[in-house]
Amino acid sequence: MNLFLPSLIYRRASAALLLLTAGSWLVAAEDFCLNCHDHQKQREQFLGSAHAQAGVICRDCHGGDAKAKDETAHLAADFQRPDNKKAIAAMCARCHSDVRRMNPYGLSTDQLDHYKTSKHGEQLFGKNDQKVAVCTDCHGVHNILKARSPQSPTHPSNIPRTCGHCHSNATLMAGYKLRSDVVEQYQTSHHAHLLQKGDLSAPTCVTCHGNHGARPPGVAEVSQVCGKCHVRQAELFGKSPHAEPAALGLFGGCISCHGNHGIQKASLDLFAEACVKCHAKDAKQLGVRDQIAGLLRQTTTDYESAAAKVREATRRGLATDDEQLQLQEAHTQLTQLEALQHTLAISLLQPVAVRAETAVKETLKGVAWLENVENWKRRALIPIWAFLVVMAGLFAAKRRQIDKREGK
Amino acid sequence: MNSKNIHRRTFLDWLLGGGLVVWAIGFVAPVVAYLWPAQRRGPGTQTVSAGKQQDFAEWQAKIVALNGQPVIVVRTPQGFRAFSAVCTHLGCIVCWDAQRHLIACPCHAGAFDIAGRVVAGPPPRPLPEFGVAVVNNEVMVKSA
Amino acid sequence: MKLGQKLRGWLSDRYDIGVVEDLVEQQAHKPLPPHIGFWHTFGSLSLFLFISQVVTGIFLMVYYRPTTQSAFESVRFIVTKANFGWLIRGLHAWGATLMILCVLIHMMRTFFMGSFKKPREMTWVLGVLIFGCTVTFGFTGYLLPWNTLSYWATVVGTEIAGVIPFAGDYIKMLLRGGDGVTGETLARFYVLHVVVLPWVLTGLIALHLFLMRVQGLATLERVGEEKPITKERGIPFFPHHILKEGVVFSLLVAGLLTLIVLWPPELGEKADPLVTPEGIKPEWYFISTYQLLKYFPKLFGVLVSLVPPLLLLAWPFLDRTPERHPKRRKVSVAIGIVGLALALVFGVIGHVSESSMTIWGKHYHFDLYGLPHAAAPPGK
Repeated sequence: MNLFLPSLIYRRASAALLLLTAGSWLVAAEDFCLNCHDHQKQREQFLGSAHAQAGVICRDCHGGDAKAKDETAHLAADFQRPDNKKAIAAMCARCHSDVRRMNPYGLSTDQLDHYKTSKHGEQLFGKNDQKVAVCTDCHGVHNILKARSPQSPTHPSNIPRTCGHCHSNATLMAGYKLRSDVVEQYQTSHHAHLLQKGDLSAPTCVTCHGNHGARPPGVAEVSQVCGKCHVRQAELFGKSPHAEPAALGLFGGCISCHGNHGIQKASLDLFAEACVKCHAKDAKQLGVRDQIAGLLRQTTTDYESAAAKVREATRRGLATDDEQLQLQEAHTQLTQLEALQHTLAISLLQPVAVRAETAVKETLKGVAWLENVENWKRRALIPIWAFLVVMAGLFAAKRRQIDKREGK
Repeated sequence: MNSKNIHRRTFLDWLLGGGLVVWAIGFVAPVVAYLWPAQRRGPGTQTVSAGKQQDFAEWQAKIVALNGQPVIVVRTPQGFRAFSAVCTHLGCIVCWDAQRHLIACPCHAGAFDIAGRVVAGPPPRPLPEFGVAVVNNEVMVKSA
Repeated sequence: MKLGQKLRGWLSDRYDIGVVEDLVEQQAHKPLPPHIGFWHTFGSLSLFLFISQVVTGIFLMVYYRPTTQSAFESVRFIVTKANFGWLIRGLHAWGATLMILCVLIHMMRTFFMGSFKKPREMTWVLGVLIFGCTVTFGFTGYLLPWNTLSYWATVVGTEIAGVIPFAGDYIKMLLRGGDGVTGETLARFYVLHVVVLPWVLTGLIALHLFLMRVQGLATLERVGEEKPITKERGIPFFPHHILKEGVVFSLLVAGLLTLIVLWPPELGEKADPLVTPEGIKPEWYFISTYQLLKYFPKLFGVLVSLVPPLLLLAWPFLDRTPERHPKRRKVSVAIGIVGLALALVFGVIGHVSESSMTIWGKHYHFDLYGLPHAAAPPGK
């Protein structure tokens, strides 16, 4: 309930307060609607928004004539209270598709065009489906902030929640025969984990689906989408026997093995789970899998055991500088292997694995040499003990000699 | 004193004296070795020579070890530059791409220009730079 | 030798070297009581080890840098790059442990043989102070390598100092040079370890030796009934006793080198103030006290742990019976044995507490107080 009495005096007083807090531009705006109308909620929302900062006022979207003396006169002008989503899109586009207008703000002007190609746009403009998302559903209504602002619903860290408003609503999604667990799945993914850690370059819904032109990538386009960031892997995948079927849309490419929303950090376990989804009976293909997985597993194990040995030797205080360098070389080769496996070509993997194993061998040779030095130190104890026991004996013998000399 | 006693005493004394001298050397020699500088420059600022100036053609690079870390030294027309050879993405050792005049990482196709700035791929940060100076025809790389 | 005689002549023309010569002659051939045996060598072993610590300490200072950026790295340099650096460092680290051990055994020998009784009470008091100094050496030196164990053991140790009533927080602040253990703490401990403590200990040892020399070694006779040690009865210091020391010294060097080579002191990982490892404990010579403190609330614990050192200091004034021989001092000897046993027991409990062990096939985790609880077998 509005606690403030809608008296003219109050309205003038609050307007004065606003003038103090909201900036001098309002002084000139004799046609500022909020001078008379309360609209407490919208007022608070609007005054902190990016539009307010840019000098946009109520009339620019809602139309109407604030200077008119009564409500009928207000509404007689082009006042609109948009309730139809098509009308909202048109309203936003009036400015945001105007190149000249948007130029000073550095904003692009193709959002509506993109939107019309999106699934949302197709439903709205094709079937007048009022349930789909339009500008205000994602960006907010009066409290629109720059996407860079962490409070904005379109800030990368908030995107999953924003999309989830509709896409996690089971009843709503059921009407389109869409799953409603995608955001939940995404939240379990490694991408979401990176986003939570503050890495804003981590992919969110819009990275793969697009933002204004949002639609799920076609099966054939998946590698391109993943390849936006995972360039090397996509390039190498393009050399594999999987590339052609993926391009023809016969299977999902990256997402067939790695999943789409709930992507986890890739591990060697994927080999056990993924290949059999299609190649359950192909002994030859599974043989290739076993070769590749075996090579990777062996190289990784050898690298990790060498790394543990070097860590232990360093902790003990042995001079492991050279061995640490060799390990870095082995690590470089191993990391290359992890990307190269996407070619599925054992002939490409083997030389790199050999280089990795060579570096590992050099590392272990170095550690063994250091151990050898320690062993020589231990062996040297024998002559040292011999010498010192002889010296002790000589001291005792001299003492006995002196005692004898004195007849004691 | 019979001569037998004197003889034995002298022999024991010789043994004892000789043993003490050997023992003294056994104490002093390691100490002298310890105090002798183990490296031309001590454990503080480390420098390493990347070779002779003539060994580098223009736009040629070499990887050397400094303080146990790999460093890549490149000869540009403007002189020598040295950077950490550890890629800032996932730690692979970078190499020199002579064709593109870039420092490239073989793991995920990252690339850095000859100022160490990232020009391609996933590396998030530029390569840290090390000081290089040509001293007596030797290309010396200095840690920060 | 002609040169020696020439030198002597030159000096005697200018100084009354007769006094010095007589003193040296008297000290060198001073007769010691005939019952001096193996257990009496621990005093000079402690002295040898102190000299070894000073010498190896000076050598270490040539390469060691006392700042948080370089301390760990300089120790790494010493053990990996400096020639025989591992040996110098090993001698210093093991020398510290052995010196504390020798001082303790020397103290026990003196206690059980009643050597602290009249007229040697002050020698004993100096000895207890020497022990305190030695242990402080250990505490301050332990921080200097700036590895994980160093850092956290110092955090724990200085926290305990903070428990002392009224002055505790000030003492803690003064020791640490701030709120936490930082580069300031390192600098302060370094100054204490290489300048202040060496001079203090040298002074204490000099006094201790002077008194010991002036009064001679105690026998096992009753107080007031000591017979003077004549040249016929006693053993001359030089060359007889020196040769016996030589035998023990040779074995000490052999033992020390063996410890260094078979159980080299580790480098560890550089201290990380942000990561607290589990079950941090102080070095062995503090473990009994550390464990004892866990059983009592803070202030009471400090008071209880002050009892042993105060008892030690006051002992010659508490035990004033005339008997020295342990067989005739059953009460004192019993108290001594009980004290030793308690120290050992608390030490063992302290060692196993906050750790897990497998005993006779069963797995146990020992809690803070050393009580065992059945635990899951160690995982993958």
